Amino acid sequence: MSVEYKILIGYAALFAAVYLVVFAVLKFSKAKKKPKVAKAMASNWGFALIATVFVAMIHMFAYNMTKDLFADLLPTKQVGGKDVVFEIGGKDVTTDEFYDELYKYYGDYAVYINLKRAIIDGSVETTKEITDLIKTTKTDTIAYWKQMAESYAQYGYTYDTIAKYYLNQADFNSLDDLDEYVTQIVKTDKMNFAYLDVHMAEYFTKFLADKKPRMVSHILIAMDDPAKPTADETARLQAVKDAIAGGMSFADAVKEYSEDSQTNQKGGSLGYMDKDTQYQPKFLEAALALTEGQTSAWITTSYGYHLIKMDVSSLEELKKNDQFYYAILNANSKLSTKILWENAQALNINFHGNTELEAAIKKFLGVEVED
Amino acid sequence: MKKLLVLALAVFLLGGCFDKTTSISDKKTVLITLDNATITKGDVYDVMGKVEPYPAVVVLTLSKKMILAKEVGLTAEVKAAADAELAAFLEKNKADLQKGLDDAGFKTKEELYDEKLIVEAQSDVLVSKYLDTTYTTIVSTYKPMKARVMEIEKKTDATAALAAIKAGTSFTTVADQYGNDEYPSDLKIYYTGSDLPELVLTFLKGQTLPTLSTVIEDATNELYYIVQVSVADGNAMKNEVIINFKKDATFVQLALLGYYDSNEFKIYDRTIYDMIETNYPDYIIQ
Repeated sequence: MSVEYKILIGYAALFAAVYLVVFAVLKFSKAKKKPKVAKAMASNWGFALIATVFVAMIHMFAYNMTKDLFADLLPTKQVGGKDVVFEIGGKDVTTDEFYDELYKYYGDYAVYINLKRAIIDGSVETTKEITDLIKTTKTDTIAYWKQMAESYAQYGYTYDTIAKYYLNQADFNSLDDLDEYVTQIVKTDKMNFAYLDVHMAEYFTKFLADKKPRMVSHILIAMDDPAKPTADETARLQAVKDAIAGGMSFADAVKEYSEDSQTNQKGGSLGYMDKDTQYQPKFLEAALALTEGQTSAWITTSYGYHLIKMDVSSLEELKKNDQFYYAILNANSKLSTKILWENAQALNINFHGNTELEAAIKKFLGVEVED
Repeated sequence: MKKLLVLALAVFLLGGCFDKTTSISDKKTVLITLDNATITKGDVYDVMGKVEPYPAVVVLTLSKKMILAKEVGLTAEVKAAADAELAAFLEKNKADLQKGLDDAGFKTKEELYDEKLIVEAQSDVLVSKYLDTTYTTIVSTYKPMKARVMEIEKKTDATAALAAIKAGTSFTTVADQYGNDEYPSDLKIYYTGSDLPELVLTFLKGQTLPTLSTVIEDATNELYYIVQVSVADGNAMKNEVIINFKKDATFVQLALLGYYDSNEFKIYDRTIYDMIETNYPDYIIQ
């Protein structure tokens, strides 16, 4: 039966019930004076019927106008004062029961996520410098995601899908979490870099020997096929060779001749690189072989001819570049979690006697658990 | 003005009666403290409850177990089936049981038994029960029939094959001679959703009696088919059809959704509802 019919029948039943009572009162009442209300209602029953029909019609109209507004709303349910998540076969599952079930699969990890965020937040003071950095990082992040969305639009990617992908990677679930996401990135870097600044001696010597970190620049003469350069390409290459042979500095030669539009306005700087940087093999080999200030011979890659200069490799200079810190963290797989645990201890972490949870969290952090 | 305030208050109060994300009763229980923060059960639930689609998966896993408990229970038949599977698993993994358990995603054999083997045995019974109780509808909708299907690459071979079958040579022998080796020609139960070329399905749907087709030509793929229907009435082979269909994902899902519907599955949490609607929309039946 449709809701409209139910409304109509409801009002009809109400009218009939009221008038049954009215007529019963008038007929069976032993009072000398019959109640005025009953008498008035009995004598105006026609008007009352019309009024009832009118109200029923308004109710049906109101229902029809609003049913779509409420159609998607979910009812709520509570049992014994506890929220119910779902019911099936007449049995309810409360949120408390659902929590216990969900915890079996994801609980320890969810605790770890909360803990990590709290440690990062507690380890880095929100100074004006940090606030400003968060603002610029947020602007840069949004711009980067928009650029990616444009680049991959043909594959169906949008800003939202790109953003959600990166947010999910950091265990955030909504675009509304963007501020928290950016704050976490900025503060995590600050926390990790601060730790490395204090403990650099423990890591740098081995890292230097293993990865050969450095900052390099290059001049590029672009060619379609470096094995078979065209007359024009050969002429351009010769021009820069002649200029350098004639005493032009590397920096000036970059400005005048380098055809890498990403770097020719920045002195040809490619920034930080090390053994793990994804450069073509000949370029990587030539760059890693240089000492500070040295320039390579001309080498070829699929892009054309390159002249590479090693700018700096000293620790003081490398520390000016965030990529150097990221590289050390990547080269030491347990370092990030070690930093988290040390900061947690500095914040007086307390598990309140929950040894099972403590063991699970320590396992996430790679901390050895005492027997 | 007073009436407007009363109306606003009513709307405000009623708002709590609809469309909310549920919360645990002890959300303020402290799990971990740091100098700067306290991590509570509520905080943990906030994270767990939003990692799409895992909360939805847990709801559906839990609700399925509840249906199985209600509709099937832990009968001797179910236990026997689960015991047999456990014995087979232990035999297969006797060299390294823990590795076998790890590969299967379980910590102990008890967990494997309770969370997988019992559930699978119960599911098997559930689907059989569903097919049995709705068999008339299953037959009229899905038209199960027993048939052989031969695929032939050349028209001349197809013509010769048909002639041979009509002359009395068995379908299987003819299929061995003329049929495509990769195409099954043994007697099987087919239905409207079977993985067969559309032309063959159309032919099968139209049959009400055992019959031999003419050569069915698929001009698009330049292939030819001969179909021999041996049983066209699904009602005449109920047990066989049920045994066959209960392994088919289509009917497993149909049965499960049927029981979700008859057991009036209802979700009261907006976040979970949206997650299930996005990822598993068939389960939204309220």
